[in-house]
Amino acid sequence: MIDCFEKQNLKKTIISGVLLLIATFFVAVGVAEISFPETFLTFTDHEWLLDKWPKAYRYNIHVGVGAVIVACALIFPAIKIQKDFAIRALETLCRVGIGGMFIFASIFKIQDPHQFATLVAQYQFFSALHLDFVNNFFSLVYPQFELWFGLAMIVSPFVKESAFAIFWMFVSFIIALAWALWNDLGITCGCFELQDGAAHDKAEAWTSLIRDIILIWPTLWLAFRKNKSLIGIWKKDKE
Amino acid sequence: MKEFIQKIKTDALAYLKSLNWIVLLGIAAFCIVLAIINNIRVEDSKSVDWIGSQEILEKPADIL
Repeated sequence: MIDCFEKQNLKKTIISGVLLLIATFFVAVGVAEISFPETFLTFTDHEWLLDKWPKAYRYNIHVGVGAVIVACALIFPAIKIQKDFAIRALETLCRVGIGGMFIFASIFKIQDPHQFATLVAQYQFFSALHLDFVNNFFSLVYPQFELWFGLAMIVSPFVKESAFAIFWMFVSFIIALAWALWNDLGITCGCFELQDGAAHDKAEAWTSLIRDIILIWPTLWLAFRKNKSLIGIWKKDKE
Repeated sequence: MKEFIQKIKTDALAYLKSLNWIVLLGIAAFCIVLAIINNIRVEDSKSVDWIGSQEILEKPADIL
């Protein structure tokens, strides 16, 4: 049994666990506010709130970023109270969260390569580099990377390698979204859903950019962790 | 400053050497194979040409 679950440390571990649980909830709310409007975790589009304050939905990014900041503020005391447990729990949560998000994001793209290729073309990134011909093949391969590296992050012990790949995918998303905003292309991110015939929504590019800038940090942290399976994280370290 | 840059270079190289490149490139190759299979698997309306791009849609006037 690892030290943090021994009787004398149990109280601290429970407090640390509760703090991390609340932090996880805030991160989920933050991601929902930024990326998934109209989910049960999104507060800014609740009818009772919109009745009182009709413009509340406009502040989803502010609420989302605020929720993530609160989550970060809760993580620090959790680590201070019981570092051994908090680090293991954070690694587990980050791997499942980021890996799961990538798996989820890939499904729609794998199911409809044509729609995703159309969306990628709207970025006009390859055409600017005179690499138009790459667009379709890139659109076919990229979602597969998302799916398998996301899966590897969760089920394989190769966290370092999968986080390294996912880190560079985040870098590419940030470059693409910054490019779209810089050139005022006004397009949707296409990260989690493909909207038929509607590839334009400037606000979504902003929210996606903010989300990616937030999520790249835990990915970078994972890229420097030791390779262990999810179960291996919870085993006693060998001396 | 020069020493700092040298240290970053050394650390980055050491990190890259510590990665399991067989796993990384293996997954990448596997993904390429699956991408090809997937493009054949999906119905014609959803598949794309291997080489090429898609048309660029007109930006709506009422965009935010």
